[in-house]
Amino acid sequence: MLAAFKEAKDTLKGKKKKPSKLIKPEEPIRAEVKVETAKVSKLKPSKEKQAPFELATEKKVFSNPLEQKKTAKHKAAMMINEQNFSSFIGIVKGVNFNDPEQWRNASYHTKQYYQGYVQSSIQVAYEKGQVIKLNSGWKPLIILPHSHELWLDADDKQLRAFAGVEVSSVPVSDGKVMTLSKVNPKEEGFSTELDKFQEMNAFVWKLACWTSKGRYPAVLNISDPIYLKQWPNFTRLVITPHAMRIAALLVVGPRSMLDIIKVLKVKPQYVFIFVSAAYAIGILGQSKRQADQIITAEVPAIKSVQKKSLFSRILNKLRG
Amino acid sequence: MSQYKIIFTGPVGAGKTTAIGSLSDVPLMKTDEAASDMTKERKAETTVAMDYGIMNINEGEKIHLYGTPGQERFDFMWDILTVGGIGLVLLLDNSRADPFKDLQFFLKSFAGFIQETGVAIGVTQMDVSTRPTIDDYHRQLKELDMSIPVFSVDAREKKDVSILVQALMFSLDPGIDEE
Repeated sequence: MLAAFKEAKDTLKGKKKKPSKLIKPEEPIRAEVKVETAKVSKLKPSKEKQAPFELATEKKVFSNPLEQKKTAKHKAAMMINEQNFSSFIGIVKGVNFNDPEQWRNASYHTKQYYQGYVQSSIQVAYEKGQVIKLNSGWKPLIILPHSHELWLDADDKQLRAFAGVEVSSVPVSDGKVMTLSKVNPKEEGFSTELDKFQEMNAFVWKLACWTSKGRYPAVLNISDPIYLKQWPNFTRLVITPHAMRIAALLVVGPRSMLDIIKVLKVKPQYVFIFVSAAYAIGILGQSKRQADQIITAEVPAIKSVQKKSLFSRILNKLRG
Repeated sequence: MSQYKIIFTGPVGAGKTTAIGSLSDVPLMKTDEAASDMTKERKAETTVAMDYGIMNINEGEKIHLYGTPGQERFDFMWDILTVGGIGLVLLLDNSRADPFKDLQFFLKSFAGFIQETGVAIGVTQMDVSTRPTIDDYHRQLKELDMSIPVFSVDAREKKDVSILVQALMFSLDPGIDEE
């Protein structure tokens, strides 16, 4: 190890002209790649040298002090394990997740909760390209579509409590439960309280988790395949139990919620809560094509037992 | 005892050395030299051969963490370092002039290794430059027919780097037992 280091260093300093023992002179430096067999990528290894890489080192922005003060927005992920799931997420009364017969009833209507109003408001803000305020009779929520941010004067504990309550039918004004109003950011005082800004998807994701509490959105069918458009940005999200495994399985191809439960051998509420959160931020959908229902994606090739065990040990180490 | 390694790559200043330092159980072994070219505008010293750290995962069992030099002129090290690797962590600096060019360059350079193993992408400096967004990266990857993890990462945060490597493990095999 150390010898390899020294050799490489010496070579780079020009002390040693001979090639490293690790490189046989007759061998090409670049590994040959069978591009035609590539399944995961259309990328081909470069045959021609590109422009020296140092040319692209110019920085666009040297500092962004305002952005860096948005601490909530750049906060690291929170990992929830099976032990603290109920205490952090909450419990749904009336559903016994141990009884498969009851799984079909473990759904909820987002429109009956704050989550539904927030999602509708976000949609309006994007369609109009306008900063808007959601007046809910609780804390005002300001939606900033241009920067994909939200501003809310409430902590997570308060949000979690409000998320789980079905929205009262008592109108706020003009017979409406919640109202929207245009906002001029220059006139409102919120923009100086930078720690209250949150990234849009991170906010909606956790709101969906606290509304779902282990249920799935009623608009989805538990038996029909669902697909994941992309990996969620897990480092900035609440990571519920087995969420990364579920994501890894779903990016391979469509699969029903029932199938995910069976293949990964996980409790249904962990699948349902992931589906709720991913659906809320728009990266998960239900397959409409008949072909997706007939052809369910194959289970990814499971590595050798030895590799599987190694990956498990790495995971255990990383999770402390 | 088998030797396994995870490779960290990416352009100059993306945070490879810092990321390895966040995970390593031993002091990092570095081959830094004073930057002499345009790299010096970004950092005083840069990795010229490799960075090396160790993650102890079991009694006597280690995962070797290798960081490649960021500059292309040291790319002869890249193929050497990937031999026997179990996966690739690609770190991209969002404050660079053209991070998508970096993305394509590194995916292309490591295409063979990625094909045999897997890759997870961490985007650093997102608190300095908020664009492109993570969704923009996914759009780029979609054009390349790739569905891989792309996360915002602060390389100084062990948790961020840990989640990125965990995602790499799951993308290699979603069947791994978590608990």
